Amino acid sequence: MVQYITQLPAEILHNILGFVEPADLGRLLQTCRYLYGFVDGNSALCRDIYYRTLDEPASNDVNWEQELRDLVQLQRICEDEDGLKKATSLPFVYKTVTRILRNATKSTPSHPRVIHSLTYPPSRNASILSTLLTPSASQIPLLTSSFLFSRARGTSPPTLPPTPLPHHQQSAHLHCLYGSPILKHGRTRSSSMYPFACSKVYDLREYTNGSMWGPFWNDGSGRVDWEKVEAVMMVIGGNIRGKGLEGLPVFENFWGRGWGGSWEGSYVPWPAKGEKGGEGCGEGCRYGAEGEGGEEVEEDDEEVRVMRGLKERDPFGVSGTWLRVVCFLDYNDFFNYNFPVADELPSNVPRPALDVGEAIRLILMKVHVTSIETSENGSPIVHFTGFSRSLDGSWDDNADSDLRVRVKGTVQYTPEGEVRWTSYSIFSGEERWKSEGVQIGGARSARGVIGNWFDKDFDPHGPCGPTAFWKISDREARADDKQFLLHDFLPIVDGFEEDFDDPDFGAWTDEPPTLDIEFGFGADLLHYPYDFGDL
Amino acid sequence: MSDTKVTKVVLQSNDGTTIEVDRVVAERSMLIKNLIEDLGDESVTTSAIPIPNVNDPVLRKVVEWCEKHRGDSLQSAEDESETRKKVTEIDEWDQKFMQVDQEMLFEIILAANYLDIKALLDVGCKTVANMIKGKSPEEIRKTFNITNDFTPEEEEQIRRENEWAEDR
Amino acid sequence: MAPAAMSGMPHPVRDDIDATWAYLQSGITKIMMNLQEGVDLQTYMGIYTAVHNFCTSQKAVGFSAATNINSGAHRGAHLLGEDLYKKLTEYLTDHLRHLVTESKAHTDEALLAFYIREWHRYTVAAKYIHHLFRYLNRHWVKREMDEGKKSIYDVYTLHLVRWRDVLFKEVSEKVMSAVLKLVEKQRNGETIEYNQIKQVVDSFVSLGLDEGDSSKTTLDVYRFHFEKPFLEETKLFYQNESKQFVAENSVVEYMKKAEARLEEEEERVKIYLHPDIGLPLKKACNQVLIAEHSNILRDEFQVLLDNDREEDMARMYSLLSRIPDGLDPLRSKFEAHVRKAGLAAVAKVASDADKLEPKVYVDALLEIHTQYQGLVKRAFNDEPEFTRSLDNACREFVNRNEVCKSGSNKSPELLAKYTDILLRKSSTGVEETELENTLTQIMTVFKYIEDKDVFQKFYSRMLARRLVHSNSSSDDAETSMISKLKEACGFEYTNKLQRMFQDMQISKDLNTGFKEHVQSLGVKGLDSAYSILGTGFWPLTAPGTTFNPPEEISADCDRFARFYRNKHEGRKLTWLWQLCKGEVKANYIRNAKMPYTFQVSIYQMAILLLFNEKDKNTYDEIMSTTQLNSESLDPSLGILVKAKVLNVSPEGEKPGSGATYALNYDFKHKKFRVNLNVGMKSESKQEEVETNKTIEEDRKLLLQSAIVRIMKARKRMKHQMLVSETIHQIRQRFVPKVADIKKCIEILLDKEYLERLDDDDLGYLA
Repeated sequence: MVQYITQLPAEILHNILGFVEPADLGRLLQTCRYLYGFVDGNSALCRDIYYRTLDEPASNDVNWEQELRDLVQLQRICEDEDGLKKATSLPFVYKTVTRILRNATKSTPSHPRVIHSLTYPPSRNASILSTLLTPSASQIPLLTSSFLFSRARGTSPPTLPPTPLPHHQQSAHLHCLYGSPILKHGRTRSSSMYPFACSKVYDLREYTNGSMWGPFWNDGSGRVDWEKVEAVMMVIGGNIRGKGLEGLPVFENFWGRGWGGSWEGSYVPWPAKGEKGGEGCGEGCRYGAEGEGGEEVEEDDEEVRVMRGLKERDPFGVSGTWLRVVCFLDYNDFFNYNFPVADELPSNVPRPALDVGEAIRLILMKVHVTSIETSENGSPIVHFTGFSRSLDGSWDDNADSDLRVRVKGTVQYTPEGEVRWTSYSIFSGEERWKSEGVQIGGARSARGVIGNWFDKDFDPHGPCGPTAFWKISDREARADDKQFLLHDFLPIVDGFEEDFDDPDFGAWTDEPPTLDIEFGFGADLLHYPYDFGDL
Repeated sequence: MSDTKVTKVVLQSNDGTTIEVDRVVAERSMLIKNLIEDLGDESVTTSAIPIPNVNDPVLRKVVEWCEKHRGDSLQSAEDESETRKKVTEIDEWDQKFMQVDQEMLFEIILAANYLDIKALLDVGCKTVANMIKGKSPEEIRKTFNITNDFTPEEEEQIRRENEWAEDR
Repeated sequence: MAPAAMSGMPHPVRDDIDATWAYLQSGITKIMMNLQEGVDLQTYMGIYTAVHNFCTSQKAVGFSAATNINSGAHRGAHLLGEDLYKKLTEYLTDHLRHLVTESKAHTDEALLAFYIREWHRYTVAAKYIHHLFRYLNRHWVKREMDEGKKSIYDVYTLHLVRWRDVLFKEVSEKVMSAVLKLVEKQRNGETIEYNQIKQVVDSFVSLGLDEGDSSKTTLDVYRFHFEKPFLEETKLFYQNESKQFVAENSVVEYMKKAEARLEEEEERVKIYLHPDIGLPLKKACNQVLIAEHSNILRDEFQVLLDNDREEDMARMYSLLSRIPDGLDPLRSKFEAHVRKAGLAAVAKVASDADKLEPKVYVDALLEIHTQYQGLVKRAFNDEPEFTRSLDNACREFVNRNEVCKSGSNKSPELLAKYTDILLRKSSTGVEETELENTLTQIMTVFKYIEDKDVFQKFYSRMLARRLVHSNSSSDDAETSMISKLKEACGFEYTNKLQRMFQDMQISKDLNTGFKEHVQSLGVKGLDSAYSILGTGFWPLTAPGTTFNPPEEISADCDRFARFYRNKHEGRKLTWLWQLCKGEVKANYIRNAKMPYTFQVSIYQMAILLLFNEKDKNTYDEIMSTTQLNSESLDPSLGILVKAKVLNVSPEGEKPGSGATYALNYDFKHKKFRVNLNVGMKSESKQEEVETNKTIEEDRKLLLQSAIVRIMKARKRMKHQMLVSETIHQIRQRFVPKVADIKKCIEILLDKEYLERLDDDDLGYLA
């Protein structure tokens, strides 16, 4: 008769311990020699518990024991009420959180999208992080320790450090990965972070040659300056909330949900390989009706084949349709802010908080890969081209080519392995606006790209501003195709899906729906000197 | 011999008692399922199936569980990797079912393991796991009647190594 | 045996491997050797339990207090089972070695029977043992595999691996040679027990284990040990057979034989081979049965063609289509053959090119096309490549044949003429559907015509004539023909034709309006009809003569002109008198029961109306009143005289000064309506010459506009590039000569549309 747990066969004990929590292991092996011997260094057991607790990592080359210990320690830190202690734990938290995200579920063909607008798969890693790290008061020190926050709280000297400080950067990076911007530094109404974020994003002094005018360090290294990315995220997040867009799933999934898709490879394609983009109008019919003779059709096939080949080799998943947000200031406001009368502000003192209201544009961007080259250090540089179209206004004039703008650009790795996007918008053959951004989480992350836009000739008088884009579908543009079809909109209008049953909305099945959202432009913005609908 | 499928089988515990159960109930055990498949229906119509490793009270307990879960879908080997990710929750009936003394609990687990009833084995193991969760080393020793056989130095060393797991 | 308790066999001590194994071995041997006698419940449960008990025999007591916690020896997590696994492996190896020895007593079919019997026995037992050792599989094996141990398999797979490594390695070659002997027997017509082969195949396939993932199988073992020798043997067999057969039989006979053999091999795959061999076997057969004899097959093709052996050609096609590039030589032979046939057909009808009936010519072309298109369809599977060869051949003999020797424009001209004949009103009214079919056939030939512009020229002239003289057989047929041309050559090609057609429609409405207008005026007008023909669309020119229309007509004409100008201000009307016609009634003729009606040209009408005033008119009088020049006057008079409406004096005098014309009161004709408006032969001959001349002019313009268009787009181009681009653009109309293009470039340089730049480049001057 078995009377003691230690008398059970090893396989049964293993099975039992496979069901305990990671923290229990550390206590179990303190009970007696036998259990110590059983648990200590038992990586098979740790692996089973890891699998039960977290996502299956893409690679098996994992120190299961260490991972469990770190997870437990992260839990301990996050449950601790002592905020100050958390700030000192930042390096550990940063290292552990980024690793947990790196090991989160990659999208696989066997898990297609459930909802058009939700472009990343469910992940235990992300959901554990969202229970551990939330913007509740006790978590604030971890996610809000960048210079911007300390400045707003008045806890740091008013001068910028000469180069970004590691703990500022780590906190900002965590905040970016968290993804749903924290726009208050305290609990009072006056603790709004938005004006401070604006003061960073619209300060032309941040746009330097050393940083290539993008969210990078000012030392020419091309390393990502996460505090810049953070500020852009906060400005755009503020606008999205301000305009009431956050209720739409296509925004809410990223801007309103912690850790939403902020990991490498999280993007779930749609339409999936071989699947048509909805009834009647998949790629097939787009190519069917055009050619007059047989030869032309063959050319099409060749083009499709080449595009498909490039798409398969592209590590960044560039080809597809992206939803883009661009915000901008009235140019008068912008100019007065950057070039005030009697400007004697030292270069290391940030400009004052800025809250004059911005305009926002939503843009649909359809791009495809045109070539892939290899850089000197052997990493790929992907070139893309396509076109974009503002979502504002009526769709009746879809045929009006003036509203569609060519875009082109490149995607490549930064020295530390982040993903850098550079893009241009081209008006009647001439490049006009340029943007530099960073893909949050890494290559093929669903969270998308956040960065800056500016004059492509780096005009020292601006303008410049924040931009973000994220992929909504794999419907891509061909060289000669400038069509937006109903199915391009499906992920965007997801929030309205229940309305499709309403007979009043019957017409939507025939023509593209209009995004019926008030963007609230002030009258002063109407005579804005440049049209950003085209950016 | 009629060609109608056998619907009842007799199990014989190692103290010689027999229990007649529905075939589907017995087939919750992969061992018995394979046995019938290999030896054919005839072999189990004439004789009881001997279960040499399980005594009468435990066998009855196991049969009770199998009766209750007769309709559950049998999991195949492929699902196994999926189920090991599953959480540690136990349904209410099973919780009650497992309210037995520790010795019986271990016996059920051993029987389930022997008879190859994966779901019952897991319920048993989860029950034991729940008795471990969140407890301090001393509490665990107490629960399972474990003697602390470390020297004080060893104990201190191990405690230090595992501070990460301490509830603070 | 007593079914009672557990008395059957004593259970071994649970953690003693030797005792446990001794117990297990006797059970396993029973299953391996004597399964047919059955296994009883006790034995089954006994073996399972022994395996379970051994694996769970570890005791916690083995972990003594003396163990150093820092030793790193974590025996607690160790699973038992390795010893059992090893013993089982040894047992299987022994068993299989024994079988290898036994197998040496057998050869050929007996060996096959032995292999299959033992394989069957072994795999059935393996399934049992797999179940009985399930506890080992579930824990120890699973753990080993989870940890990435390569040479550990679940118990069933272990059986297969041992079979492969011990027995299969030794006997597979002999088994295979037995299989091949059996197949050869079958190929030689004997009936064989093919189920044996099928089982060997299944066995070989089962042994393909994926070393990376034991849950998967690969075909590697089967491919190497079965497919490879099988394919080699097959090749050898058919090489020998076909060599001998070809030597003793005709090519056609050989084709039938090969066809049958290919079919047979496909059947073989279906019946007892693995589908994986399908493709390579087909390839191997194609190689030895077809490719290695392709030369003699191809040599036979011309013979088959010459003798219309359609069925044999189809057979040859289907055989040669199985090998890469097998059909190319057939295609070129076919093309040459069709071209020769086409040229011969034309030569037959072209004895007198000038008198050649358009219909005869076109029919000759069509007959050859139809014949060989049918052949392509029936014998060559309607394959696009053969159709292309057919097209090439047709294009050759349509554009370059005996008839075209006199002028390369001959084919389009004759085709246009034939179309005109079809579309013209004729006494032999053709059925509408038949007409449509013939028009479709016309298009078949049209497709091959290189100088499509020549066809267009002739066609538009003849269409104009049909429309103006309203002797088109049907509007539907005309429209159908135009839309066919449009489909073939595009809008631009038929634009003018369509406009001509439209003009006629508009004119109809205009005439109705005019009639109403005249009525409202209350004047009694002529019963007249006018056609407004847009300049530029119609291939017509103003009359080559002055003309003073007679009073009777000019009043109506002027009224119409005013009416039209009111409607369309600023348009200029030019009267095409040479195309006008009318009818006059002759009330003067004696002995006529009722008055004759003369259908006449307007010139003839003007002449005849002069005789209302007086019975005799001199040539000069007629000329001065009508204002006609002699080129127009003379033929008109000539016909009136020839028809004896007028008498000329002196008799036989040619039209000219000195001739006097008098009305013939004794005119007689068998019909009351007499058509005097008949063109002269020479007229149409002249028209032909003119048409051909304008073609050359038009081509120059077409070339120049193409060159300008290209240069406007490219701005700068190499001379050579420009020439080839121009050829490319113009080719669908006619085949331009390089010299002509160069000439046109020179003209454009002179006109300063283009300029010469360095490096043989040409530039565009805006």
